[in-house]
Amino acid sequence: MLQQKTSWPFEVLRYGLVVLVVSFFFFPIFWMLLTSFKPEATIMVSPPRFFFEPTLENYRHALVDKHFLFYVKNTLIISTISTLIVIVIGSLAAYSFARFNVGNGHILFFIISTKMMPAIAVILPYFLIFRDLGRTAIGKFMHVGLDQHGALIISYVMFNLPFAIWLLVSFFQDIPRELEHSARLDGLSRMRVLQKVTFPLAAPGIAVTAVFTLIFCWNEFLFAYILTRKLASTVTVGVESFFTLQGILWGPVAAAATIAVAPMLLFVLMMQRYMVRGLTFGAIRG
Amino acid sequence: MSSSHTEAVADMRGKPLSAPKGSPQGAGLSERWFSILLITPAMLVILVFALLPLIYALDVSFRFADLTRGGLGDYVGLDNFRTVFADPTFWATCWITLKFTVVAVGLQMTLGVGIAFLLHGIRFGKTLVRSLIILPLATAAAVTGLFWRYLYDTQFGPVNWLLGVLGLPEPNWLGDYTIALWSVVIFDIWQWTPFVALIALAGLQSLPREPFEAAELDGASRWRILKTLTFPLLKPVLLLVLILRTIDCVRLYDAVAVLTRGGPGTSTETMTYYLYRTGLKIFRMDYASTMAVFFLYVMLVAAVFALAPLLKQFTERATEA
Amino acid sequence: MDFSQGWDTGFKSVLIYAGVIFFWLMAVEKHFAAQFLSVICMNLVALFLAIFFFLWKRGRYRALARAAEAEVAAILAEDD
Repeated sequence: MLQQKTSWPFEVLRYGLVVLVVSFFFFPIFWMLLTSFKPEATIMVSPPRFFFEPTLENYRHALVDKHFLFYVKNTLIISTISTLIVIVIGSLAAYSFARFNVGNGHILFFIISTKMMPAIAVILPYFLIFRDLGRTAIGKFMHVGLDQHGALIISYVMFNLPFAIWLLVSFFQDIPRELEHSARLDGLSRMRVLQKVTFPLAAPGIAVTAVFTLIFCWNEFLFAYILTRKLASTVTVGVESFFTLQGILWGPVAAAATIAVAPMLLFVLMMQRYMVRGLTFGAIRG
Repeated sequence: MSSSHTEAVADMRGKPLSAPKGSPQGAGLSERWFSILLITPAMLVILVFALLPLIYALDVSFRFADLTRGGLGDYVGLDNFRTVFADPTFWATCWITLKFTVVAVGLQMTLGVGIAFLLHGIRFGKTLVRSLIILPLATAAAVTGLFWRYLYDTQFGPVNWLLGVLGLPEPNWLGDYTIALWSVVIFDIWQWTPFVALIALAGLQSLPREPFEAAELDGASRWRILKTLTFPLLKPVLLLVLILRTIDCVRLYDAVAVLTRGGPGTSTETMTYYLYRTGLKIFRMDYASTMAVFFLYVMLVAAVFALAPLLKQFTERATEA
Repeated sequence: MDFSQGWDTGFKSVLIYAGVIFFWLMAVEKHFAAQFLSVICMNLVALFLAIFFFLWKRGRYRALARAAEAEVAAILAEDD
């Protein structure tokens, strides 16, 4: 911005504030990581301890005793399949909106306003629909009953599609039309143009959208909580199961929470550069 | 209004042309079908899984549906709406949601923009700072929220310990019904201020240099530059963030479900939580659907006001490209 | 007015209709002695406002189109 000719006390203050701010945002996650390695006896003490003998007992308890890996597996299956479907369907639709402006903005408005719909409003019909679907033969075959993966997959596809389409539209709009036009003039069919010209160029954008969708699916709670019971629960629901009647064991909770959160943290760090674009639905380039 | 006037003029000018723009002659029809074909799968999913459940919810909202007494009952017209509108708890939850949204979004925006300015000037360590700040956003609210219960613990939680060390009062974050809502607000701020900050930062960094250099040469004071140059340029960005955050805060569920379960008492019961409780704990699907319909209506009205300008700039990009 | 504008306005009309009904149920109905009377009045008012809005918008769009037409005609006349 401006060429700040600030004096050094201001700079010290500035960096001090930055450290403060960063610590505030980083501390809870850091503490969670720390707690996951603490022996149980050192957790519920006052004052809280920074130094202790690290142990893997919490992780063992979470993964083995509580079968947390099962939840991770479910989440992995559900999130990746949902993301795949969203990307495929979403890219086709987004391309159409970006290039041909189908429906003159109205269909797009409709799709985007479904994003504003509170999940809670549809959760009850979903519950009833999946309950009934799961009793039919097709439903059983496709695993779409309650407490089955299909139900969550469909729900997540539905909920991430608007956002993905919106993001992908902005990425497609970035690709200059002339490239596609010249390919068409070279005699390629529309599908081939998509295949050979558009998608390779849009690949980074599609990757970013995929990561965002994955993160949303992974971190989702409401649908997972209501539509699953035991068999298809995801990590977000799984962490709650640590709240037993014997009281809360914070060590394993921290371990489970870290496992639940770690993959997405890594993804976000990788995708840092695109965060702004993704978070603002492609309206702003970071 | 003048923009739609020019649109109308442009429309009239465009009409005499025979070929559709941007495609070779004769390929007009197949292009249209192609474009429709592409959006079909997505539209199918959305129509079946968004529209149908909503229509279903609308239907249930006009019926008697106490799931503890069997399935859906007969039509009762607008009675469910009358009951819900007369329910003081309903309005209490609306008020709580409103309080939460206004405070949380207000604080997030101010802090976020402040942090953006703070970070904009630092010379080294920017990537590291961004990486660390972004982490709360990547976490699942339901998961970290659970852990925050420990952080907020009055006996063993590090937060109160730190406050004690600093000589500050140590409140009962989740147990005191007068402040429980603010504890949830703090959690939301922790998770989403980075969102505002990062976007505001990106906005700041993409501002053009010339106006600022010119203003500085003219000897304008820092404050004046901020007021007349920076903020007006940042306004579209900030508006978008404001809208996104408001929508998300109104729909808040995870944090409440996991931190306080609506308690203590009902002091943190937001609209969404009350809806959930009515539908899946008390099993009055009719009232829950009614609330959902009302909720949806409010969001639709908001969408018309908030999304319309956003969408306009969108379609402008599409038609100009 | 064309389809796009019509759709938009129709949508908003429906929102207005629903809005009046909600507002009525919340604030106005208690002042009525008989419920069915209230429901009739409510529907009348809601319909009236919704239709009024639609027609008003239609009038404005038509006026805009007419003005645009006149402008184009004037320009074409200049070209001659």
